[in-house]
Amino acid sequence: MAGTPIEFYFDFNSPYGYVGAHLIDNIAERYDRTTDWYPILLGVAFEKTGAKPMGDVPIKGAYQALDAARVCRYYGVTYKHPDKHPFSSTAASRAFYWVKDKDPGQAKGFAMALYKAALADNEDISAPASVARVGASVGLDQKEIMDALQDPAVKQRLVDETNTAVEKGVFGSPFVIADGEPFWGVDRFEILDEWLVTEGF
Amino acid sequence: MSGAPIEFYFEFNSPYGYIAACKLGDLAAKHGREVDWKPILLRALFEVTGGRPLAQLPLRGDYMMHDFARSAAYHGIAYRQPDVYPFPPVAAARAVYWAKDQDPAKAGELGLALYHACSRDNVDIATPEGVAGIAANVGLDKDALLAALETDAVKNRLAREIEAALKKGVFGSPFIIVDGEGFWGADRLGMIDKWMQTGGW
Repeated sequence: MAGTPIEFYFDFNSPYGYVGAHLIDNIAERYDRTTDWYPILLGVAFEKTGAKPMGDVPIKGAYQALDAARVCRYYGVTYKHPDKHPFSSTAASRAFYWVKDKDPGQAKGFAMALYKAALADNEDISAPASVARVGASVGLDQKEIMDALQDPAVKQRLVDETNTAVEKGVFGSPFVIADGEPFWGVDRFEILDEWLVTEGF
Repeated sequence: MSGAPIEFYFEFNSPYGYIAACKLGDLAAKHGREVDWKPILLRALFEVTGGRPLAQLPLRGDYMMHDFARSAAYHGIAYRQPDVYPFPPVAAARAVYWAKDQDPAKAGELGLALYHACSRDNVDIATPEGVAGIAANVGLDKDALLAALETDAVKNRLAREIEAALKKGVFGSPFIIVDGEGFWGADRLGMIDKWMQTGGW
Protein backbone atom coordinates (compact mmCIF):
# COMPACT_ATOMS: atom_id res chain seq x y z
CA MET A 1 0.00 0.00 0.00
CA ALA A 2 2.74 2.42 0.90
CA GLY A 3 3.67 2.87 -2.74
CA THR A 4 0.23 3.90 -3.97
CA PRO A 5 -0.34 7.55 -4.86
CA ILE A 6 -1.97 9.85 -2.32
CA GLU A 7 -5.31 10.95 -3.78
CA PHE A 8 -5.95 14.70 -3.67
CA TYR A 9 -9.53 15.85 -4.39
CA PHE A 10 -10.43 19.51 -4.82
CA ASP A 11 -12.85 21.96 -6.39
CA PHE A 12 -11.41 24.95 -8.25
CA ASN A 13 -13.77 27.19 -6.25
CA SER A 14 -12.25 26.12 -2.96
CA PRO A 15 -9.64 28.40 -1.40
CA TYR A 16 -8.76 25.67 1.09
CA GLY A 17 -8.26 23.37 -1.89
CA TYR A 18 -5.95 26.00 -3.36
CA VAL A 19 -3.85 26.01 -0.19
CA GLY A 20 -3.90 22.20 -0.23
CA ALA A 21 -2.65 22.20 -3.81
CA HIS A 22 0.38 24.22 -2.67
CA LEU A 23 1.17 21.78 0.13
CA ILE A 24 0.24 18.25 -0.82
CA ASP A 25 3.12 17.37 -3.13
CA ASN A 26 5.70 18.61 -0.62
CA ILE A 27 4.19 16.44 2.09
CA ALA A 28 4.09 13.42 -0.23
CA GLU A 29 7.70 13.90 -1.31
CA ARG A 30 8.92 13.80 2.27
CA TYR A 31 7.70 10.20 2.43
CA ASP A 32 8.73 9.26 -1.10
CA ARG A 33 5.11 9.23 -2.14
CA THR A 34 3.43 10.47 -5.29
CA THR A 35 0.09 12.23 -5.57
CA ASP A 36 -2.82 11.86 -7.93
CA TRP A 37 -4.97 15.00 -8.35
CA TYR A 38 -8.74 14.83 -8.88
CA PRO A 39 -10.78 17.98 -9.47
CA ILE A 40 -14.41 17.35 -8.59
CA LEU A 41 -17.65 19.32 -8.57
CA LEU A 42 -18.51 19.96 -4.93
CA GLY A 43 -22.10 20.73 -5.88
CA VAL A 44 -22.58 17.07 -6.78
CA ALA A 45 -21.19 15.93 -3.42
CA PHE A 46 -23.39 18.45 -1.61
CA GLU A 47 -26.47 16.96 -3.28
CA LYS A 48 -25.54 13.69 -1.64
CA THR A 49 -24.79 15.08 1.82
CA GLY A 50 -27.49 17.75 1.90
CA ALA A 51 -24.80 20.31 2.74
CA LYS A 52 -24.89 23.88 1.52
CA PRO A 53 -21.87 25.85 0.41
CA MET A 54 -20.49 27.34 3.62
CA GLY A 55 -20.62 30.79 2.08
CA ASP A 56 -24.43 30.58 1.87
CA VAL A 57 -24.95 29.83 5.57
CA PRO A 58 -25.76 32.79 7.88
CA ILE A 59 -22.92 33.81 10.21
CA LYS A 60 -20.84 30.83 9.10
CA GLY A 61 -20.52 32.34 5.62
CA ALA A 62 -18.98 35.55 6.94
CA TYR A 63 -16.57 33.50 9.06
CA GLN A 64 -15.56 31.37 6.11
CA ALA A 65 -14.63 34.39 3.99
CA LEU A 66 -12.46 35.71 6.81
CA ASP A 67 -10.96 32.32 7.59
CA ALA A 68 -10.11 31.45 3.99
CA ALA A 69 -8.16 34.67 3.55
CA ARG A 70 -6.45 34.16 6.93
CA VAL A 71 -5.48 30.56 6.14
CA CYS A 72 -4.03 31.65 2.79
CA ARG A 73 -1.96 34.34 4.49
CA TYR A 74 -0.84 31.82 7.13
CA TYR A 75 0.57 29.56 4.42
CA GLY A 76 1.86 32.46 2.30
CA VAL A 77 -0.53 31.75 -0.55
CA THR A 78 -1.61 34.83 -2.51
CA TYR A 79 -5.38 34.90 -2.60
CA LYS A 80 -8.04 37.28 -3.83
CA HIS A 81 -11.65 36.31 -3.48
CA PRO A 82 -12.95 36.45 -7.07
CA ASP A 83 -15.70 38.92 -7.92
CA LYS A 84 -17.79 36.06 -9.19
CA HIS A 85 -17.89 33.22 -6.65
CA PRO A 86 -18.83 30.47 -6.74
CA PHE A 87 -18.21 30.08 -10.45
CA SER A 88 -18.69 27.06 -12.67
CA SER A 89 -15.60 24.90 -12.36
CA THR A 90 -16.87 22.37 -14.89
CA ALA A 91 -14.78 23.43 -17.90
CA ALA A 92 -11.62 23.72 -15.82
CA SER A 93 -12.15 20.28 -14.29
CA ARG A 94 -12.91 18.63 -17.62
CA ALA A 95 -9.84 20.17 -19.21
CA PHE A 96 -7.69 18.95 -16.32
CA TYR A 97 -8.59 15.27 -16.88
CA TRP A 98 -8.03 15.66 -20.62
CA VAL A 99 -4.54 17.04 -20.00
CA LYS A 100 -3.83 14.42 -17.36
CA ASP A 101 -4.55 11.62 -19.85
CA LYS A 102 -2.51 13.24 -22.57
CA ASP A 103 0.48 14.39 -20.56
CA PRO A 104 0.34 13.67 -16.81
CA GLY A 105 3.48 15.77 -16.23
CA GLN A 106 1.66 18.92 -17.28
CA ALA A 107 -1.60 18.38 -15.44
CA LYS A 108 -0.60 19.74 -12.03
CA GLY A 109 1.04 22.83 -13.49
CA PHE A 110 -2.13 23.43 -15.46
CA ALA A 111 -4.27 23.02 -12.34
CA MET A 112 -2.11 25.48 -10.42
CA ALA A 113 -2.36 27.99 -13.28
CA LEU A 114 -6.15 27.62 -13.29
CA TYR A 115 -6.30 27.99 -9.53
CA LYS A 116 -4.06 31.06 -9.60
CA ALA A 117 -6.12 32.66 -12.37
CA ALA A 118 -9.34 32.12 -10.43
CA LEU A 119 -8.28 32.72 -6.84
CA ALA A 120 -5.32 35.09 -7.09
CA ASP A 121 -5.81 37.04 -10.33
CA ASN A 122 -9.61 37.46 -10.28
CA GLU A 123 -9.98 35.89 -13.73
CA ASP A 124 -13.23 34.25 -14.65
CA ILE A 125 -12.31 30.68 -15.61
CA SER A 126 -15.87 29.43 -16.02
CA ALA A 127 -15.83 29.66 -19.84
CA PRO A 128 -14.02 27.11 -22.05
CA ALA A 129 -12.19 29.95 -23.83
CA SER A 130 -10.76 31.19 -20.53
CA VAL A 131 -9.67 27.71 -19.55
CA ALA A 132 -8.00 27.27 -22.95
CA ARG A 133 -6.21 30.60 -22.56
CA VAL A 134 -4.83 29.55 -19.17
CA GLY A 135 -3.77 26.30 -20.87
CA ALA A 136 -1.88 28.27 -23.52
CA SER A 137 -0.05 30.17 -20.77
CA VAL A 138 1.50 26.91 -19.57
CA GLY A 139 2.35 25.65 -23.05
CA LEU A 140 -0.76 23.68 -23.91
CA ASP A 141 -2.51 23.97 -27.25
CA GLN A 142 -5.42 26.38 -26.91
CA LYS A 143 -7.38 25.01 -29.84
CA GLU A 144 -6.93 21.41 -28.76
CA ILE A 145 -8.38 22.26 -25.35
CA MET A 146 -11.34 24.02 -26.98
CA ASP A 147 -11.98 20.96 -29.13
CA ALA A 148 -11.58 18.55 -26.22
CA LEU A 149 -14.11 20.47 -24.15
CA GLN A 150 -16.73 19.69 -26.80
CA ASP A 151 -15.99 15.97 -26.66
CA PRO A 152 -18.75 13.91 -24.95
CA ALA A 153 -16.12 11.51 -23.61
CA VAL A 154 -14.33 14.39 -21.87
CA LYS A 155 -17.61 15.57 -20.36
CA GLN A 156 -18.48 12.08 -19.18
CA ARG A 157 -15.06 11.64 -17.62
CA LEU A 158 -15.70 14.38 -15.07
CA VAL A 159 -19.11 12.93 -14.21
CA ASP A 160 -17.50 9.54 -13.64
CA GLU A 161 -14.62 10.92 -11.57
CA THR A 162 -16.97 12.94 -9.38
CA ASN A 163 -19.29 9.98 -8.84
CA THR A 164 -16.37 7.72 -8.00
CA ALA A 165 -15.09 10.28 -5.52
CA VAL A 166 -18.46 10.57 -3.79
CA GLU A 167 -18.66 6.77 -3.63
CA LYS A 168 -15.31 6.81 -1.86
CA GLY A 169 -16.77 9.19 0.73
CA VAL A 170 -15.40 12.48 -0.62
CA PHE A 171 -17.71 15.34 0.41
CA GLY A 172 -15.51 18.43 0.66
CA SER A 173 -12.45 20.21 -0.67
CA PRO A 174 -9.65 19.53 -0.18
CA PHE A 175 -10.10 15.87 0.58
CA VAL A 176 -7.16 13.50 0.73
CA ILE A 177 -7.17 9.72 0.76
CA ALA A 178 -3.90 8.08 1.75
CA ASP A 179 -3.80 4.30 1.93
CA GLY A 180 -7.57 4.27 2.27
CA GLU A 181 -7.54 6.79 5.13
CA PRO A 182 -9.66 9.92 4.49
CA PHE A 183 -8.67 13.46 5.51
CA TRP A 184 -11.01 16.40 5.01
CA GLY A 185 -9.65 19.92 5.02
CA VAL A 186 -6.27 21.53 4.79
CA ASP A 187 -6.32 21.69 8.58
CA ARG A 188 -5.97 17.89 8.63
CA PHE A 189 -2.67 17.96 6.74
CA GLU A 190 -0.80 18.01 10.05
CA ILE A 191 -2.49 14.75 11.05
CA LEU A 192 -2.00 13.39 7.52
CA ASP A 193 1.70 14.10 7.88
CA GLU A 194 1.85 12.23 11.19
CA TRP A 195 -0.17 9.40 9.64
CA LEU A 196 2.40 9.02 6.86
CA VAL A 197 5.24 8.93 9.40
CA THR A 198 3.68 6.30 11.60
CA GLU A 199 1.50 4.57 8.98
CA GLY A 200 -1.49 5.01 11.23
CA PHE A 201 -2.03 5.50 14.91
CA MET B 1 -0.36 41.80 23.40
CA SER B 2 -3.44 42.78 25.27
CA GLY B 3 -3.45 39.78 27.57
CA ALA B 4 -7.25 39.70 27.51
CA PRO B 5 -8.88 36.39 28.36
CA ILE B 6 -9.41 33.86 25.58
CA GLU B 7 -13.14 33.43 25.01
CA PHE B 8 -13.92 29.73 24.78
CA TYR B 9 -17.38 28.88 23.41
CA PHE B 10 -18.39 25.23 23.47
CA GLU B 11 -21.17 22.77 24.00
CA PHE B 12 -20.74 19.87 26.43
CA ASN B 13 -21.93 17.40 23.76
CA SER B 14 -19.24 18.49 21.34
CA PRO B 15 -16.31 16.06 21.27
CA TYR B 16 -14.10 18.52 19.38
CA GLY B 17 -14.97 21.00 22.11
CA TYR B 18 -13.55 18.50 24.59
CA ILE B 19 -10.23 18.44 22.74
CA ALA B 20 -10.08 22.22 22.95
CA ALA B 21 -11.09 22.16 26.62
CA CYS B 22 -8.22 19.79 27.41
CA LYS B 23 -5.64 21.85 25.51
CA LEU B 24 -6.68 25.46 25.95
CA GLY B 25 -5.58 25.91 29.57
CA ASP B 26 -1.93 25.20 28.78
CA LEU B 27 -2.07 27.26 25.60
CA ALA B 28 -3.48 30.25 27.47
CA ALA B 29 -0.95 29.92 30.29
CA LYS B 30 1.88 29.87 27.74
CA HIS B 31 0.81 33.36 26.69
CA GLY B 32 -0.02 34.57 30.18
CA ARG B 33 -3.75 34.56 29.54
CA GLU B 34 -6.87 33.29 31.22
CA VAL B 35 -9.61 31.23 29.58
CA ASP B 36 -13.16 32.54 29.80
CA TRP B 37 -15.41 29.46 29.68
CA LYS B 38 -18.63 30.14 27.77
CA PRO B 39 -20.84 27.10 27.30
CA ILE B 40 -23.54 27.51 24.65
CA LEU B 41 -26.31 25.34 23.20
CA LEU B 42 -25.63 24.39 19.60
CA ARG B 43 -29.32 23.81 18.99
CA ALA B 44 -29.96 27.51 19.62
CA LEU B 45 -27.18 28.53 17.21
CA PHE B 46 -28.37 26.11 14.54
CA GLU B 47 -31.84 27.66 14.68
CA VAL B 48 -30.28 30.84 13.35
CA THR B 49 -27.74 29.40 10.92
CA GLY B 50 -29.82 26.49 9.68
CA GLY B 51 -26.88 24.26 10.61
CA ARG B 52 -27.27 20.61 11.49
CA PRO B 53 -25.20 18.34 13.67
CA LEU B 54 -22.38 17.04 11.45
CA ALA B 55 -22.96 13.55 12.76
CA GLN B 56 -26.40 13.49 11.15
CA LEU B 57 -25.28 14.31 7.60
CA PRO B 58 -24.77 11.49 5.07
CA LEU B 59 -21.07 10.76 4.38
CA ARG B 60 -19.98 13.54 6.75
CA GLY B 61 -21.42 11.78 9.79
CA ASP B 62 -19.37 8.64 9.24
CA TYR B 63 -16.29 10.68 8.51
CA MET B 64 -16.78 12.74 11.64
CA MET B 65 -16.93 9.72 13.94
CA HIS B 66 -13.75 8.38 12.38
CA ASP B 67 -12.01 11.74 12.34
CA PHE B 68 -12.90 12.49 15.91
CA ALA B 69 -11.40 9.24 17.22
CA ARG B 70 -8.28 9.90 15.18
CA SER B 71 -8.02 13.53 16.35
CA ALA B 72 -8.39 12.51 19.98
CA ALA B 73 -5.68 9.87 19.56
CA TYR B 74 -3.45 12.41 17.83
CA HIS B 75 -3.81 14.79 20.78
CA GLY B 76 -3.42 11.98 23.33
CA ILE B 77 -6.90 12.50 24.73
CA ALA B 78 -8.87 9.58 26.12
CA TYR B 79 -12.44 10.15 24.96
CA ARG B 80 -15.35 7.90 25.75
CA GLN B 81 -18.76 8.73 24.35
CA PRO B 82 -21.25 8.60 27.22
CA ASP B 83 -23.95 5.91 27.16
CA VAL B 84 -26.59 8.62 26.81
CA TYR B 85 -25.58 10.77 23.86
CA PRO B 86 -26.37 13.42 22.93
CA PHE B 87 -27.60 14.49 26.36
CA PRO B 88 -29.30 17.74 27.42
CA PRO B 89 -26.39 20.09 28.22
CA VAL B 90 -28.58 22.85 29.66
CA ALA B 91 -28.03 22.29 33.38
CA ALA B 92 -24.27 21.95 32.94
CA ALA B 93 -24.11 25.13 30.86
CA ARG B 94 -26.16 27.12 33.36
CA ALA B 95 -24.00 25.87 36.22
CA VAL B 96 -20.81 27.18 34.63
CA TYR B 97 -22.19 30.74 34.47
CA TRP B 98 -23.44 30.44 38.03
CA ALA B 99 -19.99 29.32 39.17
CA LYS B 100 -18.42 32.21 37.24
CA ASP B 101 -20.44 34.69 39.27
CA GLN B 102 -19.33 33.04 42.53
CA ASP B 103 -15.67 32.89 41.55
CA PRO B 104 -14.39 33.31 37.98
CA ALA B 105 -11.55 30.83 38.56
CA LYS B 106 -14.05 28.17 39.58
CA ALA B 107 -15.91 28.39 36.27
CA GLY B 108 -13.00 26.91 34.37
CA GLU B 109 -12.40 24.26 36.98
CA LEU B 110 -16.07 23.26 36.90
CA GLY B 111 -16.23 23.41 33.10
CA LEU B 112 -13.28 21.06 32.72
CA ALA B 113 -14.54 18.72 35.45
CA LEU B 114 -17.97 18.52 33.78
CA TYR B 115 -16.34 17.88 30.41
CA HIS B 116 -14.17 15.09 31.84
CA ALA B 117 -17.26 13.61 33.46
CA CYS B 118 -19.30 13.42 30.25
CA SER B 119 -16.52 12.86 27.71
CA ARG B 120 -14.18 10.55 29.54
CA ASP B 121 -15.77 9.11 32.66
CA ASN B 122 -19.27 8.24 31.38
CA VAL B 123 -20.88 10.25 34.16
CA ASP B 124 -24.35 11.56 33.41
CA ILE B 125 -24.40 15.35 33.67
CA ALA B 126 -27.81 15.78 32.03
CA THR B 127 -29.61 16.36 35.35
CA PRO B 128 -29.12 19.13 37.93
CA GLU B 129 -28.16 16.42 40.46
CA GLY B 130 -25.48 15.05 38.15
CA VAL B 131 -24.07 18.53 37.62
CA ALA B 132 -24.21 19.38 41.31
CA GLY B 133 -22.29 16.22 42.18
CA ILE B 134 -19.43 17.34 39.94
CA ALA B 135 -19.61 20.87 41.35
CA ALA B 136 -19.21 19.49 44.86
CA ASN B 137 -16.07 17.65 43.70
CA VAL B 138 -14.44 20.96 42.82
CA GLY B 139 -15.44 22.59 46.10
CA LEU B 140 -18.64 24.37 45.08
CA ASP B 141 -21.77 24.35 47.22
CA LYS B 142 -23.98 21.60 45.90
CA ASP B 143 -27.20 22.79 47.52
CA ALA B 144 -26.65 26.38 46.51
CA LEU B 145 -26.17 25.27 42.92
CA LEU B 146 -29.27 23.07 42.94
CA ALA B 147 -31.30 26.00 44.24
CA ALA B 148 -29.76 28.37 41.70
CA LEU B 149 -30.59 26.09 38.77
CA GLU B 150 -34.27 26.60 39.60
CA THR B 151 -34.11 30.38 39.35
CA ASP B 152 -35.09 32.50 36.37
CA ALA B 153 -31.97 34.59 36.77
CA VAL B 154 -29.74 31.59 36.12
CA LYS B 155 -31.92 30.35 33.26
CA ASN B 156 -32.02 33.76 31.61
CA ARG B 157 -28.30 34.17 31.98
CA LEU B 158 -27.61 31.27 29.62
CA ALA B 159 -30.12 32.58 27.08
CA ARG B 160 -28.46 36.02 27.15
CA GLU B 161 -24.99 34.51 26.78
CA ILE B 162 -26.12 32.56 23.72
CA GLU B 163 -27.62 35.68 22.15
CA ALA B 164 -24.41 37.57 22.78
CA ALA B 165 -22.38 34.70 21.31
CA LEU B 166 -24.45 34.78 18.12
CA LYS B 167 -23.87 38.52 17.83
CA LYS B 168 -20.14 37.85 18.04
CA GLY B 169 -20.39 35.37 15.16
CA VAL B 170 -20.24 32.11 17.12
CA PHE B 171 -21.90 29.28 15.15
CA GLY B 172 -20.19 26.06 16.22
CA SER B 173 -18.19 24.28 18.92
CA PRO B 174 -15.47 24.88 19.81
CA PHE B 175 -15.34 28.53 18.81
CA ILE B 176 -12.53 30.56 20.26
CA ILE B 177 -12.11 34.34 20.16
CA VAL B 178 -8.71 35.89 20.80
CA ASP B 179 -8.45 39.69 20.77
CA GLY B 180 -11.58 39.88 18.63
CA GLU B 181 -10.37 37.24 16.14
CA GLY B 182 -12.64 34.20 15.88
CA PHE B 183 -11.45 30.64 15.26
CA TRP B 184 -13.76 27.69 14.69
CA GLY B 185 -12.63 24.18 15.47
CA ALA B 186 -10.14 22.35 17.65
CA ASP B 187 -7.92 22.16 14.56
CA ARG B 188 -7.30 25.91 14.84
CA LEU B 189 -5.36 25.65 18.13
CA GLY B 190 -2.02 25.87 16.31
CA MET B 191 -3.11 29.04 14.55
CA ILE B 192 -4.45 30.50 17.80
CA ASP B 193 -1.03 29.89 19.33
CA LYS B 194 0.63 31.72 16.44
CA TRP B 195 -1.94 34.50 16.54
CA MET B 196 -1.16 35.23 20.20
CA GLN B 197 2.56 34.97 19.56
CA THR B 198 2.61 37.33 16.58
CA GLY B 199 -0.42 39.52 17.17
CA GLY B 200 -1.97 38.27 13.95
CA TRP B 201 -1.10 38.16 10.27
